[in-house]
Amino acid sequence: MPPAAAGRDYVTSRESVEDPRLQQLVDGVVRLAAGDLDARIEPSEHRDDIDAVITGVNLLAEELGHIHSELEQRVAARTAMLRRTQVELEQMAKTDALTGLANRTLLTERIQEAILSCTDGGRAPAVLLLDLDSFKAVNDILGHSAGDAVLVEVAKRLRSAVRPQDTVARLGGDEFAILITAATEEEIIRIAHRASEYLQDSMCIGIETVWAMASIGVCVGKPGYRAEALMRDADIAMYQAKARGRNNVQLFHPEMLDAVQERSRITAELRTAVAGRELALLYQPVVELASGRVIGIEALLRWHHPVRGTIMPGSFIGIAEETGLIFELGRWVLHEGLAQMGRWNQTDPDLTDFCLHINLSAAELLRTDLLEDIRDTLARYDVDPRRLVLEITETVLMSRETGQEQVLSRLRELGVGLQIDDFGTGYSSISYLRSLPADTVKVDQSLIKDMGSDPRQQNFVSAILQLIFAAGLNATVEGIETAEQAAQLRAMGCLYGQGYYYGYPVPAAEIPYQLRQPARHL
Amino acid sequence: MLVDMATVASVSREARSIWSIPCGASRIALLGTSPVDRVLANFFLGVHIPPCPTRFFTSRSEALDWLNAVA
Repeated sequence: MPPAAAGRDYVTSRESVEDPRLQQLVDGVVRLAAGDLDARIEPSEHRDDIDAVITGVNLLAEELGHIHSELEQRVAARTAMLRRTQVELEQMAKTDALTGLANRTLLTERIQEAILSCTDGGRAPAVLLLDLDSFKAVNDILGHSAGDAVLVEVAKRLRSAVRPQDTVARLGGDEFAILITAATEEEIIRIAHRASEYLQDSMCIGIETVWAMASIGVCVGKPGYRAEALMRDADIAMYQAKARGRNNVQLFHPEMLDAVQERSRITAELRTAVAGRELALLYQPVVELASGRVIGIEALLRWHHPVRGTIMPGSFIGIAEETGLIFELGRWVLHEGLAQMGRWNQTDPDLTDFCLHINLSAAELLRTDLLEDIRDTLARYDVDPRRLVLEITETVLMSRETGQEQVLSRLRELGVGLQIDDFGTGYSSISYLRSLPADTVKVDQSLIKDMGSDPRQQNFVSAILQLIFAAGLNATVEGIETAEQAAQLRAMGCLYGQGYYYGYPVPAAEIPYQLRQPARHL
Repeated sequence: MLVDMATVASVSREARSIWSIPCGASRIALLGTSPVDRVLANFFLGVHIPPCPTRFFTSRSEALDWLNAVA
């Protein structure tokens, strides 16, 4: 603003020099600079240099406005794209790539959310754990792409068995999980059984028909139940389902936890049992039915627990096999049995006419040092290999693999006898009987249990004995408890037998006496 | 094609963009007299690439000479 009192001449001359358009230009540029990119200046009719500047500024402002809005659009598009990508990545990190189901991470998140939301008075969530029963076989026999197809189909069926608000997850391998939220125990069990049901139908994988059934463990949550506990207990219930024959649903009970803890305890104690001399062998005679002569003795393992008394093998062999302790146990039995033979050779050198029978488990056949161990131990106690008979169960011999095959034939080359144990309890094919690498077959006691009262059972046993003879093998029948059974078996042509009728399992000291007396006569 | 710019006050971006579309002319002469015309013409030429040779003239006869030089 020019000073007011400067004089008329000054004011007039300044007015005649200054073009009002210059002020408009300044205003316009200021507005543009302030960010108003829509600001424009009005050019006059003169079309002179000042108008040229005004026109230029307008055009530049328009350009600037366009560039600005283009830039904003592009930034918005990029941000949206990045956001979508981020969502996709999160999705991928929480999803199983093969089946599209939730993965363990997402499942755990959802379980925790469900637990939190139930504290405001809702129902606690339930977790189901599902393990496919024979998936390994599918993979091994049909290949991995068939295995994948099975998993995808299982995922589909499980999804259709649950409600929209439930989550189905794949935890890896052939393990699946289902989270059921806000449902009654009844509804939860219903969903679990539905899932099991949907898996009963076969599935077509290429040209093959495949079954993929599952062992299912259910844990219904309660207030205060944490996510890890839910998963752990569902897992325990699932193992129960497996133990109870697979393809079933088990609901978790606190007693199951006790069973798990019991197993851990037994395992720990079993380890010390071997070292702590808590194991012992009892011996039961095997007789020739006609003469009553004792031709063999079977070594039977007992565990003399310092607190719980005598424990039978049935209670701990299974756990030993699962934990690998079976190797130590097997080694101990072999050494102790042969050592005892050595002792008998010393104390009763005249008793040379009997064999020692020792049970061998499937796992032990896989021991790389088995052959050496047997050979060395026989040598150490100076026992003729032909006086050792190894009893191996039917199912093991049926499914033997090449490695095991070699071990068995090398054992026979040594002179060691092989006996098929528990015959009649497995699902064996008849034709294999002739090709088994064994000398004798021990018929399981379950086959003669009802022989006395049921004539058809008698015929059945007779036929089995004929079958065994026809295959060029000898038969020993186990579990003979009465004179009647003994007579019937003799009449059928059975040569050998074992059972309480002929003697109970007894300590080593009593054996020489048993060997000298003929067992009961008929 | 001779474009007389005498009455053009401003040309919007959209209008300018139409000049980039191929057209039948082999040459375009922009004829202007004032500084405003010069500014406008250069915005034409600078922001969008015309499909054929385009020049700014202040003399009508020079413009016509240049256009006819093609033929």
